[in-house]
Amino acid sequence: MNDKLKIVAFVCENHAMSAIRAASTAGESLPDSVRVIEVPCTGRLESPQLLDAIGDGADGVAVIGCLEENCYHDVGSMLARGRVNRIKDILTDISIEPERIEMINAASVSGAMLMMKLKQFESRVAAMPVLSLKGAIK
Amino acid sequence: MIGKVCMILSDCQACSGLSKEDMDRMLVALKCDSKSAHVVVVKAPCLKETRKEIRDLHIEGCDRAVVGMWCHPEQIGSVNWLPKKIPPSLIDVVDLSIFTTKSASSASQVEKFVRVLRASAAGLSHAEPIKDRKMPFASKSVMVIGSNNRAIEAAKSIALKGISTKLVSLLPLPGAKAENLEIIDEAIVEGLKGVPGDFRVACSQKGQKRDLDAACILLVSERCLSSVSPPKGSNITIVPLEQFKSYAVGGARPKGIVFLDDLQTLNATADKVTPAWHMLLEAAKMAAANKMANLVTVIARDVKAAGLLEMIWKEAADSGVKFVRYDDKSRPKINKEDNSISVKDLVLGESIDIPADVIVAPVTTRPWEPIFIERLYLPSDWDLKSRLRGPQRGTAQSPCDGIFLIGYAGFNKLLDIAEPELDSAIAQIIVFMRRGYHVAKGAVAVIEEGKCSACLTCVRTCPYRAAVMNDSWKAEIIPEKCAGCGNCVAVCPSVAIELKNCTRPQIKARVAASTGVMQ
Repeated sequence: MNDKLKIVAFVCENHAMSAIRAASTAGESLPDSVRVIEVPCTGRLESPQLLDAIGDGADGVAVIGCLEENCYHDVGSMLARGRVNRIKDILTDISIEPERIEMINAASVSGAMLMMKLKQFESRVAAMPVLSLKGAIK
Repeated sequence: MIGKVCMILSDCQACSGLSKEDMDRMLVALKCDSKSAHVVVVKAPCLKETRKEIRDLHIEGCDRAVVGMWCHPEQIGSVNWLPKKIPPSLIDVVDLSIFTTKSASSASQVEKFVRVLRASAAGLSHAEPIKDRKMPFASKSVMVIGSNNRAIEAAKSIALKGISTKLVSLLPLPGAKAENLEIIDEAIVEGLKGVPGDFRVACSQKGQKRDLDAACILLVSERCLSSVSPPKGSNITIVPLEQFKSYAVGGARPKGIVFLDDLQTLNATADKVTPAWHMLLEAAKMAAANKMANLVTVIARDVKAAGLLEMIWKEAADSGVKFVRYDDKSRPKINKEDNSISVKDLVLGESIDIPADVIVAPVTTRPWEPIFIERLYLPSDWDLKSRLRGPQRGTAQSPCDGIFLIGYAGFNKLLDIAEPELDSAIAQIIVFMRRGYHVAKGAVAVIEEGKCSACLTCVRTCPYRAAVMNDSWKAEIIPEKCAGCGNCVAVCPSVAIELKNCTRPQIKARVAASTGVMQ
């Protein structure tokens, strides 16, 4: 079950990516199911891209950005949070668990906490029924 | 446009932790599966020969490259080791070490690395080359803004290198003279226009308007951006904090010295106060230790006591400085008759009068001056909190090319941090001027012509104010200001904007490749 789990993580290349780097230097590692996609800022992500990730077969989508009050590009993670909340509504409408998408905020020094949150997210997604949308949405 | 990707992979066994068999398995998986990719195996890039090999690498038909390695690119000293035949925007350096799991089996490890490299190649195959633009300087001079010793020192050392320098200062500077140095004293900076290499600065010198040009600007202190005037009808002397040392040397013995956190404190309507704590406390400590006055008081709104500052507060208190905190609702007022300041003490809960023949305060700072907010990409509510974000930007690192922030202009800091920072900025400026041209990043966000519906959403969203409306009432992005965050791309309702270094097809291809749906 756990081998097939796919979580797409959109990671902002500023604070969130340095958090992951800091964690990997400290010996913590990304969960196996997490596939990292680096973006310049989480504010760059549009709703279709987030939905596409689920449509392409991801079981969960994590959007990892800077802390809102300390966002590298000032507004990025705030805008991303709004979009994630909207996607949650859309997912509810089409009877998919809204918990499959989550916004995670991380400071560049809190790598360990980010990994912990990602692992918790992974275990929550793993507990959900299997989502077989791969190829279903064109 | 889909290009062919060449994959350059380091087989460093020490860093990757993979055995030779695993490495071979990985290479086979990469070679047999991705038809468009050529795989080249090199040794660890921390070796000099490997870097040379990578630099001269050329494969027929491949116009882009993924470099996979097990260390962070910053750990490798030399910068120019990436393939020189390929434009930098089409090279993706992947640090595989962050995907290493210690407990995982080598098979799943290999699978993970292959997936990461393949996703990166898929994204890169959709990338377009981005061209940088060279902009020659229109102006040949450097402008230094600031009135303290450090500004004079900086201006002199830049002028010494044969670069024509202008020093704009709020205070009169009769002594400062040097070759190639033009001094514009008793002047206030009022406006800033232009791009790096061709800044136009509007000043008013002794009431007269002046228009100055500069290729780059060194902002040593913002205190030049506004003037200081003592309250009318009082005998109180106001000494700018920067000049307190020379005032103290003069041998004056006033009854009471009051140090204010900011001169704006006395202005009941002003709401923003940005104290220069270190400088203020050092000066107060000196005044109390030398018994310059019977009573040395510091009146401040909030006491920022963290780290080293706490020690300085304690030292100042030990040498006899009294501290009074005031509430924002009841600000200190000047009593003109007996030269005192009445302030409601927060601890006592009642109003007290403090003798104040001399008020020492940082000359009113207005860092939220719109001209610099816009230029320096600062948030619109540029207050103390935003000011403390300074350390994030790094030493002598400015958010805008061609403008260098030093000392208190950046954020409040200790002198031993500020001084090396100044040296570093001077060195940067000399390099910047010698080069003679400024490289603007290729337009990172581009608006497609004809699609814009002039809704102003991008103009409102852009944190860097790079999106503006042009004369024909269409949105336009100024490439020199754009930082490539892509916030405008996502908010545009007409889907008219595309981010050059992270396009929609690129993200889509990476998502598809990493979730296993290969197109």
